[in-house]
Parts: sequence; C-alpha cells; structure tokens
Amino acid sequence: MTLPESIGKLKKLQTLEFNYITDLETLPQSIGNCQDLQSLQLNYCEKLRKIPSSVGRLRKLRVLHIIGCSSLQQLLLEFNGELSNLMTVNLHGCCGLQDLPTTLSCPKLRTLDLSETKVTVLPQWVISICTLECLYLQNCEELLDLPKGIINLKNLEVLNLVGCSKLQCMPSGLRQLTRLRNLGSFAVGCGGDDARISELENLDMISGHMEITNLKYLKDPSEAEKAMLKRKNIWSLDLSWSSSQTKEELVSDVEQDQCVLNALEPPSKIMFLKICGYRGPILPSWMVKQNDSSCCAGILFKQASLCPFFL
Amino acid sequence: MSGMEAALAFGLSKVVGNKLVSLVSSEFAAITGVEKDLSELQSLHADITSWLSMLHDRAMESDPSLRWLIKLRNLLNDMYDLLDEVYLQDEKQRVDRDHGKHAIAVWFCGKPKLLLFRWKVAHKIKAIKVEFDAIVNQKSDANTILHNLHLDQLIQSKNKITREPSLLSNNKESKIPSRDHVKSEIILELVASKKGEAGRIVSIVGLGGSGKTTLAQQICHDDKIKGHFKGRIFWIHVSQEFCRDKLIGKLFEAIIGQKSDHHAQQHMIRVISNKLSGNKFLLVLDDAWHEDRHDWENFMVLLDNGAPGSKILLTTRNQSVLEAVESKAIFKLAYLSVDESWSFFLKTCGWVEEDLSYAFIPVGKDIVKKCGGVPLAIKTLGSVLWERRGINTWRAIRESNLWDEENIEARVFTSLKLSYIYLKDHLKQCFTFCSIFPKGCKINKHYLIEQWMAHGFIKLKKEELAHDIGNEYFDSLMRAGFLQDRVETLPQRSVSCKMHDLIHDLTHYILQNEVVTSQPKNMTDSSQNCRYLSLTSCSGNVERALFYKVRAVHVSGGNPSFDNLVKKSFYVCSVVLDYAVDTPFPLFVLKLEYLAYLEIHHVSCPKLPEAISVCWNLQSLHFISCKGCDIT
Amino acid sequence: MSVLSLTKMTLEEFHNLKYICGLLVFASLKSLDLLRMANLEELWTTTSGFEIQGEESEAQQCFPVLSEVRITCCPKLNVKPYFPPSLLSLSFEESNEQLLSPCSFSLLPRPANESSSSCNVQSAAPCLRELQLRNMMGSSSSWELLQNHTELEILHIQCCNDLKQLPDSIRNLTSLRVLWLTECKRLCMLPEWLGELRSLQSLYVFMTPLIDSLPQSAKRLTSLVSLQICRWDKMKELPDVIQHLTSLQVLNLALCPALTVLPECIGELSALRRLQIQHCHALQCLPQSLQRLTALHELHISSSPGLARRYNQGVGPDWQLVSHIPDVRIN
Repeated sequence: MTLPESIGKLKKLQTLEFNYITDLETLPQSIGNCQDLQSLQLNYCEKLRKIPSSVGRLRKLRVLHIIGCSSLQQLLLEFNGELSNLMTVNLHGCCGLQDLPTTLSCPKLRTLDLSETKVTVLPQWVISICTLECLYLQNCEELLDLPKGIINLKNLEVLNLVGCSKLQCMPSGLRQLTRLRNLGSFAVGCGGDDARISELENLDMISGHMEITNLKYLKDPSEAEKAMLKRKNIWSLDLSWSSSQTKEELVSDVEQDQCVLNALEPPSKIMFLKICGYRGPILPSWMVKQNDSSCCAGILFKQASLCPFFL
Repeated sequence: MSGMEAALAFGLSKVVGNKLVSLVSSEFAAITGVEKDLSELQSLHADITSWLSMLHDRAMESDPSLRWLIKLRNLLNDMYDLLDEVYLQDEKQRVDRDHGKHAIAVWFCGKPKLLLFRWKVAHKIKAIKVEFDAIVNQKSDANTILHNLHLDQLIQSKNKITREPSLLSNNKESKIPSRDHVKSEIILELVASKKGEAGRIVSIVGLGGSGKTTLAQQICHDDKIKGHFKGRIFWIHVSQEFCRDKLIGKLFEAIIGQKSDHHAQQHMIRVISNKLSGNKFLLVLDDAWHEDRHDWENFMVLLDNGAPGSKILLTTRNQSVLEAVESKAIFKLAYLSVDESWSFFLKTCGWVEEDLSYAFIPVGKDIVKKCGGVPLAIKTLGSVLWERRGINTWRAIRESNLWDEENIEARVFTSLKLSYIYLKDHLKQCFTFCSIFPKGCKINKHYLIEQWMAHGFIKLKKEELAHDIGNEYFDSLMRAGFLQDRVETLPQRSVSCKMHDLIHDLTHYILQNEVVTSQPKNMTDSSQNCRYLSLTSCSGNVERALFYKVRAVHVSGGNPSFDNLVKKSFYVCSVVLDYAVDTPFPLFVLKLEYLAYLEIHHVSCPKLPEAISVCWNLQSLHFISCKGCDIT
Repeated sequence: MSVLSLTKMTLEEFHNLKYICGLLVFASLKSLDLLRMANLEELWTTTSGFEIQGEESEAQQCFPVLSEVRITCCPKLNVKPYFPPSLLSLSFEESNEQLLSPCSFSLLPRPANESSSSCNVQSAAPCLRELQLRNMMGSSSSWELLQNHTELEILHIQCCNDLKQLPDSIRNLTSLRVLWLTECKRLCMLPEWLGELRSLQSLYVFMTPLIDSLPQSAKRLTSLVSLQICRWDKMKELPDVIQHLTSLQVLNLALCPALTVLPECIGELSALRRLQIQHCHALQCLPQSLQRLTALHELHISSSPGLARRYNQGVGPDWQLVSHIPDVRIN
C-alpha cells in the first residue's frame, strides 16, 4: 500500500498511524507539509525501508514510533534543531537498524527505545539530552559499549541493558545516576576505566530484574560488599561468572569466588535466583547454616558416605 | 427518567456552550456578519442553562410528561448541529487561507453565497428561539420552582482527604473479605483432581455487576493456580452471541496470541488441539448466556485433549446455562451484607469512617443499602458520592424515586443511572459516546481520546494539549467506574480498557434512538434521529435516510455498503471500519467532507486514493492490518 | 534472610562444588534446577541431623514446599537422605542413575539404631505425579524407584538408548495415566504386562523403530482414551488387539512407512472420535467397517497420497465411505 502525495494537503492532521501494513515501503515527501502532525506511528510494517527526510521538518512532532519494521536500516532525517517537541522515539524491534543519525537535536526527548535493534554504539547526541528519562536497550545484541558521557544523564530512571550480550563493561561514574530504578544488567569490567560493582552502592532505587555478568573479573570481595544488593528491591537476580571458561580459569580464584558470592547476598524479598559458573567449593554463607559451614569441611564429609546416620 | 433526560441535556448544553464561546468571538463570525446572530444564540443558551440548573436537583421528581425535556434535548441537538456548520465553515476558511488561497476574497466575491449563509443561520436561530419559547410556555409551572439552597455543607473532615479511589484495578487484592473465602473454595475445587468428568466445569453464578468477572480475574492471578496450571490459563469472553466459529477464533487468539482472522477454522482447531493435548490448562469462559446443551457439547469437544486436571471456569448470570453445560461445582455469589457493603464502599473511596462527619454517615449508609449488595452498583455510586460532597446532593440521591423498584436488577440499574446523573457535565458526552462500541470490545485509550477531540467534546484550555486534557477525562471515567480493566501493552505502551455490560446498556438507555445498532426494517421518524451508527456483522446497503444526522459510524465485521450516500455535507466526524476480512477501500469515506477521525482495519488497496485530501478536516488517520499489492 | 522468599532457584555449572549440605530452610522454594554440575556428588535435603558426640539434633526439611526438581547433566549426583516429600514433578536428564534407586525417597525416618547399608524402604513419597527421564541409563538398576511410586500419573521416557525393554518396576504403576515413550531406539517391544496399567488414558509411543505391535494384555486397558503412534517403521498392519480398546477416542498413526492395512476390526472402536493418519505412504485404503463408527467426528489425513486420491470429497471414488464424518480434512 502506498500513500498519495495529496496527503500533504491534510493540514489539520495530528495523528498518523500505520500498523501491520505489510507492504508499505515508504511515505511521500509531502508528509512534511502536515505541520500539525504530533504523532507518527509506523508499527510492524515489515517492508518499510526508509522514512522521508521531510519528517525532520515536523516541528510539532511529539511521538515517533517505528516499531518492528525489520527492513528499516537507517534513520535518515534532516535535523536542524527542528524537532523541538519530540518526546518519545521508539524503535523497538527494528532489527535491521544498525546506525542512528550522527546529529539530532531534540532537546525535550524523554524516552528512547532502541531495544531489539542492531545498534552497535550510541551516538553522542543521545547523551547530550539531559531530559532523557528512559533508555531502553534490551537485547541489543550488537551493542559494544556505552559512551562515557552517559553518566551525565542525571534524570535517567531506566537504563535497561538485559540481553546485551556483547557489552563487557560499564562506564565508571555510574554512581551518579541516582534516579536509576531499572538497570537490568551490569557487566563487571576488567579495564581500569570501567565501573566497579561498588558503584551500585547508592543506587538503591534499583528494582525488578537484575543480571550481573562477567563476575570472573571481580577479584575483590570488598567491592562486592559495597554493591549492597541487599538493599535493592530486586525480586529476580541472575549472577553469571562467565559464559565460557578455560580449564585454568575453572580452578583458579576458587577462594575469591566464595567470598565474592558471600558478599553478593540478594535482598530478602528475592523470588527468582540463578547462579551460573560459580567456582567456589561450597555454597555461599547466606544459603547455609552458619555452624554447619565450618563443619562441612571436616566431620560431615566423612560421615556423608554412611547414609544411615542422617535421618 | 426525567432525571436522566435532564442530565443528558446538561451534558449537551455544556458542549454547545463551549462551541458558542469559541465561535462568537471568531474572526469568521465578524466577517460573515453572523456575529450578532450568534450572540443572540448565546444568550438563549444562557437561559436554557440557568433553567436547567434550577431544575437540576429537583429533576428527581417523576414527571408524567417528559415530552418537554425530550424536546429540549432535540433543541440542543439542533443548536449543536447549527454551530457545527458554522464552525466547520470557519475551519475550512482557515485551512484554505493557510493554503494560500485568498478565501475571504472568494467569499466576498461570492456575495450571494455569503448572503445565503447569513440568512440560513439567522433563520435557524429564529426557529430555535420559537421552539424554546414553546417549551417554556408548556412548562409554565416551572416558574414556581423553589430556589434550591446551593449552600452545600462540605464534608467537614478532621483529616483532609486527598486520596483518590484506586485508578488501577489491583487484581491481587480483593476489597471484600467474604469473597476471599469463596475464592479459596473455588481454588480448592480447581486444583482438586477428580476422576472422570465430574469436577471439570466450575461455575460462578450471580447477578450482573455482582463481581463474577472480578473474582475470576483474581483467581487467575493467584499463585497457587498459576503454579498448578503452570501458567496455562486462557480467558475467553463469551457474551450473548454464541457462535461456535467465533468461539473457536477466540480460543485460538487466547491460546496462540495471534489474531484469528486469517486462519482457516480447520487449521485453528488443529493448532488448538496440539497446544492443549497432554497439558493441564484452565480455561475461563466469562459471561456465558447460551442455554443449548448440544451447542455447548460441540464446543467442549475441542477441549477434551487436555490432561486430566484441566478445568473450565464459567461465569454466568443465568442458572439454565449451568444445566446446559452440566456443571456440578457451582458457586453462587451472594449479595454483600449491609456491613460488608458499607466497608466495601469505604474502601473504594479510600476513606475510613472517621473521615466522614456524622451527618453523612447515616445518609451514606442508606444509599449503600439501596444498592442491594451488588459491588458494581456500590462502586459507581461510591465514586459519585466521592465527587459530590454536598450533603444536599447525598440526600437527593437517597430520596430519588428512581429507587422505587422491587427487582434487584432494576435497582442496580438505578444506581448506575444516578451515577450518570451526577457525573461531571463535561464527561457526560464523552461517556455516552462510548455507546458506539460493540459490547465487550476493547477500547483503545488513544483512539477514544482522538474521537472525543474529533467531536469537539474536549474543552481546550490555554497552554494545554488536547491530548493531555483527554487523558484527564479518561482517568475520570475510569475512577467513576464507567471504564474498567485498564491494560497496558508493550512495546507500544498502548492502553486499553473495557466497559461493563450493564454500563454499556446504560449508554444505550440514555441515548435511546440516537444510537442505532442494526439496520431498521422500516425507516420511521425515530430513526431519523440517529447520531451514532454502530453496525456489527452487518451487510447490505445502508439506508441513506439513516444518515441524516449521523455523526459517528462504527462498523465491526461484516461489510455494509454505503453506496447510497450522495449528499456531500453529512456531519459525520468519525468513522471506524473494523472489517473482519480484507475489503477494498471504502470510497464513501471520501464523500464525508467533515470527517475528522478515520480508523480502518483490514482494507486491501494498492494505493490510497488521491482524493483523500478532500477530507480537509482530518485530524487522525489510522490504518491497521491493511494490505495492498502495488509498489510505487 | 534472603532465602526465605525464594520460589525458584537455578544453579548451573558449579565446577568445583562437590557437596551441597547444611542448607538453611528455603521456606518458599517451589522449583529447583541443577544443571551441568560435573563434580557434584551429594545434595542433602535436610538440615543438620547428624550425630556429634552422641547427641542428635532435630532434622528439618530444607525444602518444605518444593514441588519441582530438574537435574540435568549431573553424572555423580545423589540426593540424600531422600527427595523432599512435597515433590510433584521430577525430571532427570543425563544424570546419575542412582537417583532412580529407591533410596532417593522415603517418608518415615528409620529409627536411629537400625542400620543397613542397602536402603530398602517400603513406603514411598506420597505425591510424586510426574517423572521425566531423558537420556538416562536404564539397564543396570532397572529403575527400582518406580516400584514404590504407585501414585505416579505421568511418565516420560525419552532418548534412553540402552533400554531394550521397559523395566519391570513400571508394572506397579496402577495410577499411571499418561505414558510417553520417545526416541528409545533399542526398545524392541512393549512389555507383556502393559495391561496391568489399568488407569492408563494416553499412550504415546514415538520414534521406536523396532516396535511393531501391542501385547495381548493391552485389551485390558479399559481407560485408554488416546493412542498415538509415530515412526513404527516395521509395522505392516495395525495389531488385532486394538479391537478391544473400546474406550479409545483418539487414534493417531504417523510416519509408519510400512503400514499397508488397517484391519476391519477397527469397527469395534465404538467410542472413536478422531482418527489421524499422517505420512503413511503405503496405506492405500480404509476398512469398510469405518461406516459403523458413529462417534467418529474427525478424520484427518495428511501426506498420504493413496488415501487422498481415494477419499477426497466428491472426487475420490470411495468418498462415500467417509461421507458420514462431519469433519474430514485431507491434504
């Protein structure tokens, strides 16, 4: 289906929505003439290849949703400070999208949803928008890292990184995002300038589901303690040491892992827990009775093999 | 009844007033010289409004002759139509001017046209004045109306009440302790494994509005149930129409999560069978009405595949349905006791008894007692009492003779009527507009707000976006209990809601013949008044005469043909076409010059016609699940 | 205490963990998964109840409400002293076959002074409903555990490639309702005692290329409602004993390339509601007795060209035979 050029004559048009229009490929340039347009939604239009550049002239545009358009590869819009009313940009599920425009001025942007796209890096303009409150990046499997400036987004409440499998570290200074209530995923880094897990210390509004990955790089248990997972309102926690470990890695740092996992005690309301790749010889202290853990190493084991005793 | 009519009139009057205000001072009015006429109309409107407000609290009196009120309503509608015409001419002007055409010049050049327009407006206003005078004379005893004391005592509370009744229905908590008990019993019944078919169908039976659906929802959210059925819980809203094919479609949608429209029935049955086989599931059949045993058997056959322990939870108002499905485990929802009703009322308002000063408590308790222990009635009336806190209003509600009904169902309806009467005026039109949606269908919040905007129900304030105001209206209706079951879906974060059946009945009751849901066999005078046309699964030609005053069209399923429309200036503002299967683009839409809102589902056309620009008034355009075949 | 509200816990790839013991009480845990614990040898489900200096302290269940346990790829793991009695569903994959010895379950604690090294317990856990065994070795221990679990309702046996016949311990499962046997390549026949599973309602035997018939005792399966067969490569004709399955409502034959004939005795299946035939190329015709099946509502035939030609509605020469069936689908 295509739209005629005469669509530009509809001067009063405020909302234009196309959902599940399977053969829509593009919009006519005259769409830029609909100066009253506030909401443009193109959802699940699988063949949508491009958005006309005249969309950049829509001064009153507040909501731009392009969800699930798997053929969209680039977002080419002319931006000259025109989209001053834009508040929400949702590109969820545009799995062909790799590049975002290099410049974009939308000073009032509150929500940017790039989940399930193939974005590899966040452009600079994203972190210059201080009104940004929600940044959804779930399952951005090609995302390599987060730009350093992200810690300047003081209003950020949601930074959802669940499923960003290539993300290996977080930028240091994460502690500054005090309004964060949904982090989703934290990857422990090995580099010097990466965020330490201790930066989670004062981010006490974090709630919901949380993953912590790359724990094999966490060597210092005191840092893990500072993360204070106990205080957060998390009800589902995934702790993962590493997806693949070499033979040497499997038997090294055994003691450290134990202390680290002891320090990463989950909060008391936790409902779902998953731990993967832990290398310690015994379970953490918050899972066992204190007096037993000391015995575990000694007497108990000898008697363990004679089952009749233990009833 | 008179109370209802007055209430409707009030709502209408509000909207008319809004339109008047914006038009009287417009440039267009000045240029075309209708300004004077419009001011006359404005003072007339002021008369009507003050007259109505004097009647307002006394409108509870039954009046054998309602004709004057109905005439008043028609009068207001006429005013509305007239104002709309002026308004639309104004809008068109503006649009043309922006487009670069020097339309005013055109107007002046076409002097005959201008004169004709002025004459038309003046003539219509005169006719309206005459009509109003006639109505007033008929109701001359209205002059002896006592002036009501508008000095309402406000609730003198020790604590300032700022809490609002809960906006979101929290499905996990029930506000009724006795229902919790029933809930546990039903859950026990559902998780018990019995040999054979004995305990397979568990039923909840009770009056409309007694909370069956709410109870079923709470059961579905219970952890024990979720764990026992491993999350395989499916929900179908059956409703009055029992059609096996449709039910299969609904079952398919519930289990697979995809729309059933494009799938062949055989395919759907096969898929359902595969999904259910060997697995334990819970199927909720909400609001069943059908009484034929064989039809039910034919449907239930599809569900035999599941593992033993699979259960069906049925809610119905009708005892005979239980016999038809051979349900052995039956739970009747009892009416709430007087004490429970009172505490439920307090909870829905977010109050404790100490919050109310002593004068209000006995009045409040009396009102709640009249609701007969039916939760829906208590809830809606409760939100009214929360909004209107004058003691006189409370007393008026208690003394209303609308309560003089023996039948419990009629009493429930009475409480709903009262809730409408006391609904804020600006919300009344927004609410009755919802009559156009088919019963039980999901209403998308943004679409609804846009339709309100298209019809001019939203009063614009400075610096505020129409959409934000619409949001407030929507929230108010949710709080009042007229809209319920708010659901948010990701990733678009769109919100939808539903309307309870009884409340839907209420809208139809209020609007009477202004809303038409099926093609009438003969066109009578009353069908000429149709303003909202809602056709469900209808085919064939639609009478042109029906369209005389129609403002909103909603088509759901079927394929009615509107080819008989010839006249261009129909007042239709919003059109929703929810076809079930792909249909070609409906060209009649292009004849609707004043169309502001267009929503089309399942249309198949390679290219939208260029002529779409004829609909210059379009504010919202929605295309959903449409196909084409061509590429430009 | 964080473990108190946990409802589901998954522990995966703890390479160095050998023993899980001395646990706190996980008061809300309903589901426990142990995956790929290559060196885990013991899981203790009770808290300290061991003797130290002659004093015995009260043993407590660590998992009082645990209903679901999955153990995958834990070749050395044994559960001690026994699985929690609240268990409803158990799943073992590629793990230690010791888990299936009767030791694993016990209801009553034995008196402290009785000692025996072979655990031979009479009573079984009261409520185990579902057991899934995937890729488990069967031949040596014969899964003695099953003998005692007469309340078991669902049994899945999948990819147990060394199994030549079903262990006798299954014989006692008189409450068994659903039996799945999938991908057991060496299973050469169904046991003679199959008929003793009197409560059996659904029997699914898939991808067992060596099996070609049902034992005679099958006629005693009076509760059998659904029989589904797939990849019985050697079967040429449906076994006669099928005529006795008068409670059968659903019969599904899929991917049986050698099947050439359906016997006339199929007409005895008076309760048959749905007959499905998929990918049986050699089957050319249906028996005449099909007309007697008044309860038959659905006939689905797919990828069987011989039948399609013959019984296609209005077109095939013999479609009269199936014309009385309301829902016929042939593709």
